[in-house]
Amino acid sequence: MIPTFAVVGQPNKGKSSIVATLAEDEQVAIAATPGTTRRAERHVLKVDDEELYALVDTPGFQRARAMLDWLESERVAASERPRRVRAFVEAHRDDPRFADECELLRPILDGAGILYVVDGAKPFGEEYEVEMELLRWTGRPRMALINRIGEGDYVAAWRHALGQYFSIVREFDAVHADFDKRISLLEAFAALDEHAAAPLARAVAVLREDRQRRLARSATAIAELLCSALQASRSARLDDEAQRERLAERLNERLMDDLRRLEQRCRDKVQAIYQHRSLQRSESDAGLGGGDLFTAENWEIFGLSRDQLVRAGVVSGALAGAGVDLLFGGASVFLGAGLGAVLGGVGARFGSDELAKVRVLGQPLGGRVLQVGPVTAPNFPWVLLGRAWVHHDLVEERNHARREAMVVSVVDGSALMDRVPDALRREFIELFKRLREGDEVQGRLTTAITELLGHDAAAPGASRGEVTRRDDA
Amino acid sequence: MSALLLAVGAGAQRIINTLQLAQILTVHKVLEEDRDRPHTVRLRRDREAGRQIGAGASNEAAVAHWWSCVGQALAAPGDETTGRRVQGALRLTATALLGLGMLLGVAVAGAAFAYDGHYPVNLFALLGILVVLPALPLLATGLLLLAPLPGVRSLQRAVSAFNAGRWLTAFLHRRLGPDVDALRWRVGNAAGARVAQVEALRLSQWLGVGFFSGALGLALLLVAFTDLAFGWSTTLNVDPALVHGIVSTLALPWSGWLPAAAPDMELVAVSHYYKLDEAVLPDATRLGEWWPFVLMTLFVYGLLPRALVLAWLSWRRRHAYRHLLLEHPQVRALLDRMASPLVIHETPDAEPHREMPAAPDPGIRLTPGGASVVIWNRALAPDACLAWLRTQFAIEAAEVVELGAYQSRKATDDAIAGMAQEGSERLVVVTKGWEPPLLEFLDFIGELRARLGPKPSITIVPVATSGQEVRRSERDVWAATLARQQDPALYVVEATHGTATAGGEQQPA
Repeated sequence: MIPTFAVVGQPNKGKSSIVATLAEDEQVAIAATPGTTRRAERHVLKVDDEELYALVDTPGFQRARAMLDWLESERVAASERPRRVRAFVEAHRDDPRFADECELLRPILDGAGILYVVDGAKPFGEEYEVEMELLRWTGRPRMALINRIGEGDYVAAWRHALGQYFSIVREFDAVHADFDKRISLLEAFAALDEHAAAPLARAVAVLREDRQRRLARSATAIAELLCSALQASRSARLDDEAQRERLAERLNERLMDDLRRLEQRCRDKVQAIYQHRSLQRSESDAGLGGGDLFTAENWEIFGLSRDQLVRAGVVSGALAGAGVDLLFGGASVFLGAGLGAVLGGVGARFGSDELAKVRVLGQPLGGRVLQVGPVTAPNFPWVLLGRAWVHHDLVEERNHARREAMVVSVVDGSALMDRVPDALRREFIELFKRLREGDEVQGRLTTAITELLGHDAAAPGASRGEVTRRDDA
Repeated sequence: MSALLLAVGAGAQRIINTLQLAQILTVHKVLEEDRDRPHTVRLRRDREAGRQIGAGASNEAAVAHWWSCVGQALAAPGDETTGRRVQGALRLTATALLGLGMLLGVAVAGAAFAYDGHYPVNLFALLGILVVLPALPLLATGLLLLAPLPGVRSLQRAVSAFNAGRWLTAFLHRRLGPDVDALRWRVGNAAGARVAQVEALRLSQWLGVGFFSGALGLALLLVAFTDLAFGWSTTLNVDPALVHGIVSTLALPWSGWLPAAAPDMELVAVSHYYKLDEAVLPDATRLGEWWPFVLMTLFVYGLLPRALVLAWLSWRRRHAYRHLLLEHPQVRALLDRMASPLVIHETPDAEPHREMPAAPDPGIRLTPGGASVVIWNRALAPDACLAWLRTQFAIEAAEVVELGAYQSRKATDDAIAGMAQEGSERLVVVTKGWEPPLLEFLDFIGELRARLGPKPSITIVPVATSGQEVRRSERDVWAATLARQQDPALYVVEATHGTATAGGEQQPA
């Protein structure tokens, strides 16, 4: 039998939330109405065909007092108590009154360890002692988890009470626990059952590796987004020169829609990678202009500052000029690099603010085509990258027990792109330049993005989901 | 089973050895279309294929195995069309270039070997036209095959603009559509660009191989069926010893085993002619002896390098194809799916979400007056409870009883019996609003009703941890649960004021 842990407790104490969090399953029903869970549900962690451990989400205790009365109606020695509990389950197998108790006790009697969940935001009450006593009767190893749902803090009282019935008492915020906390809890389960240590250690290792793979897959999705977005264009036949401006405007709108769709598709992919398929997003109206990609405020928050853009232009121009220097074997005394740097910097500082180039192309069989794109605005790839970074940061740490919309809010602080290490920023400058030139650099871009995603998008001291805007903005 | 895997492995190896552009493009197309399938579906499916082939297999073998057991089934009938068209177009172009090269070779050689018996064929002009000039494109090919270094890159771009193969691949790219990005030439490291480069250079070599085959063929025919005389002439004051030195150096590769094709000093000396003398040569009968040297020079310095470069490019093409196959983002993702252990949280006995039946809210406003009060599970201390009921609802309690799940069954039964004896017409049960209504509470209410009879009203008053009214959401949970008891005289107290409660929620007035 694989290590199995039954998550038990009263209804609405967060049992299902804990299961949803640890099993990364957003489909686990979490509701305010008691009795939502009526049957014990096994959630098994499988690696290929190998089962490593199971969590069992159980219905809550409903008639604990009546059950304890039944158990105590016959005096039995402590060693016989588990047998007495089994007798209760057998005697009430078909009794609808104790359906929940039988359902929650069955996995425990089959050998599962007990994870007893209470709400530390609510006061301890004597009535809990009845179910704690019942769990003691089972004779199974037990751990108490103090979950806090709400503002109150009664953890100290709970600790005193739980300490008398459980060998291990831990606090665990089922709704806000990040990956490391979840892993730490999983490691603690090993203390309940010595035979569980090896499979749990393997599960932890597998989950950590899987986490890295998810990060790399997300980086691939974001790199694909950048490659597609920087090469996207829209074109249409230009029959009448007088219609040129209107047509360009229409094509520009279509191009922007295409880019929005590409970004949305990338976000869906990242969410699917982290098993958050039905996650809703809500970007605060005040900060992110309804979340649209093309608002000026978004560009200010997620992209490079004007100074950073100039510096990027200098580096990019110098790189191009250095090629010419190399061609002349250095005989140009680095004039190419110097001139390239100046032109790049000036271009970035005083260049056009238009999103994409508008060109009229001749056709081999006559006629003309108006093309809008690819996007030439220097800040565009940075804005796209910044938004994808923040989104990934939120999704990565998003707990599967949270059901409310994911919110991005804006606070003042250091700019997002200031948190990109210098070497990495230079790598992006070169890669964006080469992407615009049509080179295929997706592999290198994926590597760079993987490194970026390893850094927190949130500013030091800010919480996840808070995007900082320059103080002087 | 192992025999089956061996057979599959051998099949995969065959596919790799004969890796065709058509197959690669089809694999890419199928994988691009496969992206729309849910990630987990692809993960399970591809991991299964990955486990069959095992961790030790090469990436090509893994893709080939995936193709044989998964990919082929996913391919739509038209998916292979593009690849076949590209491959067919490349074959046709290579054949056409070979033919065109032969025609060119025959034409140029015809002009270079032109001999009417008046003057001998000038060896300098002949070798210049047939060997030195065609060597320039070969050098350009070598330059293009260099790694794209920053300094060389611009030169490579400039040179590539004159490459016939590049023009043709660009033409094919335009004709066959954007699906064939592998024919888009770029001087870069990208896999598609590398294939385009190799294919373009291969096409150029077919032209060269055709050229020298035509030239050599014509030369052989002329040697066999006409009398040719070769000599050398120059305005410069060149010592025949120097010419002999050049010729001997050129003949080095074959002079050891074919001495007849390595002219001696005497032949070089007698072959020097001047137009002013009207090509009067001291020993004209020996001039025909140059032909083995001429043919060997054309073969060794013309045809052979082209053929070798063509063979080398064919070998490079195999690698370029391999990269094209494996460096595609979707193939990389596929290999990742095949190699990564499938980590899933499975719920084999998942319960469908159950919606509780809705019932009318059994809300009631408590009117002032007397009532019997039960405090369930020590929701409040008796004194605090009485004070709160008095100030909040103007209720004067005739009696307060503390009951709860912490007590034994007998204690609860006795208390219920006592209340029945009292015969109270109105009962208020104060309970912890932050806790959900459990069935043992409903059991208690049910027993109370059974003992009191249907008339007396029972009003549940959930309180917050602060001893005040609970949040509306908590109150509604109680209301919904009690409504399902279908007891017409069982109520849940309505909220009475709009002040914020402990939970922070604004209550309606």
